[in-house]
Amino acid sequence: MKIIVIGGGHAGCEAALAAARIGAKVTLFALSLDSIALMPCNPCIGGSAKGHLVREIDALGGQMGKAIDATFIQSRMLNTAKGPAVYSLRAQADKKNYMTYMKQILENEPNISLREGEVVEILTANSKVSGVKIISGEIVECDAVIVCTGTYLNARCLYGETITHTGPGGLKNAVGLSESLKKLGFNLQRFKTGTPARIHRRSIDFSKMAVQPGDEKIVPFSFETDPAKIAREQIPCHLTYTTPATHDLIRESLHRSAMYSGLIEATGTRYCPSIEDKIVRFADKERHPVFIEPEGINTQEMYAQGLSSALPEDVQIQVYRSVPGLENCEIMRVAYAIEYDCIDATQLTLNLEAKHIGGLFFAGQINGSSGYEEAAAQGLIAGISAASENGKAIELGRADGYIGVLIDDLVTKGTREPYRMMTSRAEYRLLLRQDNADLRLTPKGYAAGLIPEQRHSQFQQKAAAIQAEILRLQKTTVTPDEANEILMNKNSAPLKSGAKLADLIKRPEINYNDFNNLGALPPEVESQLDLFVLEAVQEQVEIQIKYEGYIKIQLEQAEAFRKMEKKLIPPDIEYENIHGLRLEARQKLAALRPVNFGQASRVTGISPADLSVLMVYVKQKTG
Amino acid sequence: MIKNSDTIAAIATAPGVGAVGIVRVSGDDAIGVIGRVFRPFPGDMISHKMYYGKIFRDDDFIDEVMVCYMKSPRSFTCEDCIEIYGHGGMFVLSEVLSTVIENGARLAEPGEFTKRAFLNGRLNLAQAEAVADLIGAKTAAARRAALRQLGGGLSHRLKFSRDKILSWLAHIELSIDYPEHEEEARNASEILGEADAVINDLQKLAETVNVGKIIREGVRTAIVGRPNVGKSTLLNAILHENRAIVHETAGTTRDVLTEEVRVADVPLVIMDTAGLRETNDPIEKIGIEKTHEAALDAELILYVADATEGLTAEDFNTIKSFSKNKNILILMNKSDITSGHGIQGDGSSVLELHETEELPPCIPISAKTGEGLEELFSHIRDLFFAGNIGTGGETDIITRERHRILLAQAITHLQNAKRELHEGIPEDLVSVSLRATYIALGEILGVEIGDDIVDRIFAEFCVGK
Repeated sequence: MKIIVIGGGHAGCEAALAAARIGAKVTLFALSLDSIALMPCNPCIGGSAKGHLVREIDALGGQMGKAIDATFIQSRMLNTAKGPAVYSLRAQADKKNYMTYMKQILENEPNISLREGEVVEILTANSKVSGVKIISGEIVECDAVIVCTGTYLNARCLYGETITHTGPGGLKNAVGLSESLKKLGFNLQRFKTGTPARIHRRSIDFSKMAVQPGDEKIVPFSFETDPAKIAREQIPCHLTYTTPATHDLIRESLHRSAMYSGLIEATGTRYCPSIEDKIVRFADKERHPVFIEPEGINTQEMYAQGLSSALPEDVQIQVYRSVPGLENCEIMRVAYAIEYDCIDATQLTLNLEAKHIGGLFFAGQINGSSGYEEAAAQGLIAGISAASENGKAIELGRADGYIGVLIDDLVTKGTREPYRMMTSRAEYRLLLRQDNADLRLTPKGYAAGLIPEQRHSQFQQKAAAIQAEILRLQKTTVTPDEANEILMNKNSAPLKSGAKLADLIKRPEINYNDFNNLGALPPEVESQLDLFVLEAVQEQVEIQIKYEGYIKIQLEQAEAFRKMEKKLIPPDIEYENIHGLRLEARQKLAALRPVNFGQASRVTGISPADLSVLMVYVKQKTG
Repeated sequence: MIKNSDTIAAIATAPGVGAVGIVRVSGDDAIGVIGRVFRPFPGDMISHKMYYGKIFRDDDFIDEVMVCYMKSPRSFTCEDCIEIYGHGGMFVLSEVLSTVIENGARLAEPGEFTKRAFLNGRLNLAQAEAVADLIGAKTAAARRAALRQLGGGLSHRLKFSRDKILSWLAHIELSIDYPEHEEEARNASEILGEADAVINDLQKLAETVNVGKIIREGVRTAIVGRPNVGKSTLLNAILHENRAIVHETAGTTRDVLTEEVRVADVPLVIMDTAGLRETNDPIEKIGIEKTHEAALDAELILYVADATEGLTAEDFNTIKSFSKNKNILILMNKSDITSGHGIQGDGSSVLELHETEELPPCIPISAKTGEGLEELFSHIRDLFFAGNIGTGGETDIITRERHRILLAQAITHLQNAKRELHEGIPEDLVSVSLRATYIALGEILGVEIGDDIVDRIFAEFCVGK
């Protein structure tokens, strides 16, 4: 199996690593080998829902979690008061270190060849990928191609009246491939995103800002990382706000922003609006937050989250200087908007393969998503799928993980603006927690060939320990004598007769650790587990017991959902001929060709009655 | 979403005042459901044997019934099936149905029993297309019934409550998905403060959605016919007042007017419709579409024709286009200005046609002078007391029952959310209850959740990196 990955961003890195680790020979083409795993925008990984994605990538055997664990300069667990399903891990990265780390991982992988070069054409034969042509004219043959071109296709950067035909940060863009994709029958869309200016640290007055330190207790992204081994000094972020002066300046100069002068052709985004958009759309809002985040340890550049803009440079500097703490700021890199080509992902299967060209996969921003984590997750799935022989590709549904939600949304509903992962998009959020990503996905990663034996057996020990401990708590009865002192200290109603430990832990005011002294895991189990794994076991036990009722309801819902996903629709079905199916439904289903009834039910504009008619038809055809 | 082995229930007998009515339950848990409502429950039920007993909702007696269990695959659907034979009145039957539903069954989708029978191999392939048609027709009927019942203030009030819940969800989800903006989100106590008003509102709505009310509302009657045959004059004659516009120019009545009136002890809800006619005028076209809808919805169609012109080919075609199940009376109007019967048409006597074409009853009337109205009223009375009209349509009862169930679900979920907020349960769990409320209310309105929450967050809050 020979696979070519086009692009060395977060999607490309995961795609190449996954395919190579499964055993494929991978060549990764990047426009520049100096920009492998570049973070062209914010210097952070994770956050709400995105943190879930990184955990899932790690649980499946991907690299992103380990990369950020190795290179973070600040780490925080967000949303800890809002329930276990939405705990969100977020870390500031040292951008340069992150890139170096990831490039080394790629370089050290025996099955990966890294090559600098621009792919300008994808070659096919009999509706199947046969190779790629690079800018020199050289043709490289292969069995599969994974397109991970990010924001580089026909990219333009704009601010004020200035337009540069480059990718992000002045890097070379890719100009040939869009035309090739069009010829292959892909519908291209034009999306827009943007980034704020970078400011010199010495020019910032941090005394006028609120300081945001990292957590004392670090939680790593990777299930394999021992937090004790990644303890380090953390660098704080800072919070300040825009002022009325900021807003006046922007209003006066709006006509000079590339966003509003008509220069930008692409579809904007609600997920990373420019400061101009914020002022226009929310005219009544008195201030907008601005987070000042370090770009790394060995640089003085600071990222100004919240101040993305396409205003001309002379206005930008005034706008930035109207923000408390930034009065004397020096802009090192100007803010800009960027436009790029992407495809309509509804042309892809749930494994991110083109429906009409075998062996051609797409991952990352080319599919209309936004964000490093969204890109990496898709890269991982595309990599596994491309390298898997004969349909052994991984299946990840909406009830299995955020990755399943992400990909299903992109390929079933499509998107008309850059798509950001949000926890509110996940129907089974209580099941898809960041704490149990390994329990949900590591078996799948193992089946796909990405989890080494040793990690798998450690995982199985952990899973077994969780089961054993839950069982113990459900079976162990404590007497009022044993429990009441502890309960009273916690303002919890004392016992009159014996009670199961599990029932006590269900009380909102009681925690697992309150009853630690009343026995714990069998010593033979405990001795096998690292301390941090033991803590993870206890956390898991506590969550599963405390939220048992809610989890059970969602498990039932997920089961009903999975039933529909298992009802397959024959691939050769001719929707045009289905008697009794509404015309609109025929057209929409014929265009998307869903693989099962679950996916069909999520196609925009398909009603339950349409599904019933389809079900009758399929039964009639298949007997 | 359609599910396949869950247990469904519906009233299986045609609406009307029959002596016996049947509620059918089908699916894996059919026995379980009956075990919870039927006393004395024989436990080990023998297939195809009749059992006598009573249906209870908790401790409330509902009806005295016979029950028959048909073990899979020896039933209509090939699944485990229970039939409950109760008293025929629609009100009692719908009470039995809702008891069954409260105890684990789900209301069947339109055509679902037949669909299951087909999917389980009970019907042959030739019948498959008929199944698709049946699903289509029943879905359309249910949609019309839903639209009608949601008319007036109901849908407005539902949307208002639903929007409030969406707003709470947006605040909760904002604080989860954008923790850096959490100070902009409303907290639990603010939401709690509003919850009672919404619960109260939904409870009031639930009271308006009961099946008994439909039956009391009256016989939905449509007056239809070609333009200028005197439909509005007839309505006025029936009402003894001048509400509808009557004009010499064809096509002036464009909206469907409804009037409630008691005719010979029979309560009628009369829908006066625009003249049926091929037209290109867009406004009139809407009127004519409404006419067709009103005719589809009506239990009784009064088809008015102009006796001076006789029944035209267009009249015949229209009458034939109405469903066979409809009760139709043909009124030959303007009998005062034609000679004899005045019911001539296309050279042949309508009375002859009546015999050959099996036309509905034909009554000569004069809406202007009132001649023939007594005969019309006595026909309506006969239909009513024969139980042919006045029972409420089947789809109406099902629709209303569906709405009642969904409202009850919404209220339960919302009460859960309120309790959770009160107890300080984390937001991610409260969100589950609120979302369930939002989905249930959406199902009544026939809308799905889609990207509502995400859209609302971005509409209400300025977030993003």
